[in-house]
Amino acid sequence: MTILTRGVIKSFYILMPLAIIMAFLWAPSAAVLGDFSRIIYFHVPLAWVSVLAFLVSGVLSVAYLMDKKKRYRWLDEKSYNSASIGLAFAILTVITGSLWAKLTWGSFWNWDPRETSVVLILLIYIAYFSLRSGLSGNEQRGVIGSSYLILAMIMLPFFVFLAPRIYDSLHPATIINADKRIYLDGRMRMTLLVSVLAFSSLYAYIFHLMNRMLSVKKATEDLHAGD
Amino acid sequence: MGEEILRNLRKDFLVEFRSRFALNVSIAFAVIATVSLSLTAGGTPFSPLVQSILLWIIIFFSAMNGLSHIFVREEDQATSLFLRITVSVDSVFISKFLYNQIFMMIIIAVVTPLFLFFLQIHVALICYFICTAIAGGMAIASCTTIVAAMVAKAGGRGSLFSILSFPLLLPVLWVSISSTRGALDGSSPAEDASLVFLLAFSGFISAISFLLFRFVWIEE
Amino acid sequence: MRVIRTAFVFALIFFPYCSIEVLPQGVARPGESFVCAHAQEYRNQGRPAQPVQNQEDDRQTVLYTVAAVILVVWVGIALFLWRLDRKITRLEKNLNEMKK
Repeated sequence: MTILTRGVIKSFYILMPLAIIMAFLWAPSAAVLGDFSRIIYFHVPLAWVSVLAFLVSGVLSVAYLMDKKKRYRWLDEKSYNSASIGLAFAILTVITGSLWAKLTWGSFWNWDPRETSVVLILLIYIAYFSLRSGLSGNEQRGVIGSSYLILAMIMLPFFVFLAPRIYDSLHPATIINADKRIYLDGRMRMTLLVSVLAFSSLYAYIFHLMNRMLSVKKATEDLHAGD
Repeated sequence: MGEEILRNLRKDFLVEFRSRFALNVSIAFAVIATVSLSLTAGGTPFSPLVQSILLWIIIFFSAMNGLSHIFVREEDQATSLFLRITVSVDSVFISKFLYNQIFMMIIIAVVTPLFLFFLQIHVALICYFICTAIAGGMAIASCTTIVAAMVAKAGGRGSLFSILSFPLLLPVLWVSISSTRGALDGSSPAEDASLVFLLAFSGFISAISFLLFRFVWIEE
Repeated sequence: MRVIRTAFVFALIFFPYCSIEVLPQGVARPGESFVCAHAQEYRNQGRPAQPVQNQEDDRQTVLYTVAAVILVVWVGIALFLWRLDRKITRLEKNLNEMKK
């Protein structure tokens, strides 16, 4: 573990309070929505980081299936860890999004294309956890779980990126779309960036901790295997 | 490899139709659902949207009941090891895939006329309706083959298969329902892309499952 | 692992919930959103409107309060994660000793 990696991960301790302070005190309120718009500094990073977590779990699954010599250990468990963090973040995205919907459009859930596609993603990953628990005790669990995660990762771009852009959506214009910025002036952009970094470092930190716990647990099992 | 595929396909058909377990379960479910629907509706006309929703729910759950059997039977009767040794992975996948497709077509061929008959549905665009039913069936069968292979390893307990396939099949169901509704009341536009989506989805999922199947099938 | 996840999910829920405590005071136009319109009605019912400076101060106070609340929650989570980190490091060290 290099010092650089450790520094990046521990930067969570600085970034998150910074993001909170910036979100509430430094960024201006939006023109139309008022102070409700501050929810954007939590909702958008949560969504992005959950997609990142799912992508990481998919990539680790591909590595697991292709790594015949077992140079990297327990990649299937690590992809499981990443998928569980991704699921937690996705659930939080849905909760924050529905709160925003209640504040600005008056109802919690509208079956908007973007909302529907997020629900689909949630269902796919919840099904992954059912699959893993159904396979407990089976030594093929890692392989089958990884195949399913690859399948899920491949469906991800369609639901997260394509569907909301093809169908007309109530959802505010996506931030990556260059010519559709509604109200992102300089300060807001800065706060959003810091918030994204803060949540990414939170994800990296928790993922790192979960992986370390995993290796300690496995090493302890190995040690006691001879008992 | 073509010979192996045909041989496996023939064997699968013979074995499945000897006891006809999966076929019976699927078709019995479809018949029961349709008949009870028609009975309790008592002649009240449903709107085309509701009709297409009901049709696809019945088709979907008939598929859920029957389509995993092809792999689960191999595990239950302990013939999967034999299959693993004697036949190459690709042939196994293609033969099971073709079997599932044909099975799904049989289900649709039985369920749809039954549904139309019992609920007295008038179809505005017949050819489009048939094409949608076939394309939707192909998409469902493509997706469920790989999921059935995974679930068979997990013991094949009933609802795990439904839980796993449902999120993957939700877009298929959504598109099929809306285009069937268009076929039933004649409101679908000329350049409706639903069929293209369903066929593209089938092709895409088949390709991915072909690549992933060898990892699921081979035990080391 | 489950504890981390539960605590983290539970505390992160406070973020957006706190942000809706901030009422719109003079920034949103009437009729823009349901809550805004309602607030406008109540505010001007038979009483003279508050001077703008007062509204701004109220808003600032609320923002400070919300930020403080969330910071406190996060200090709690950060402490928890810090302790967890230390425990894991200690476990790893023990394990390395035992292996030798």
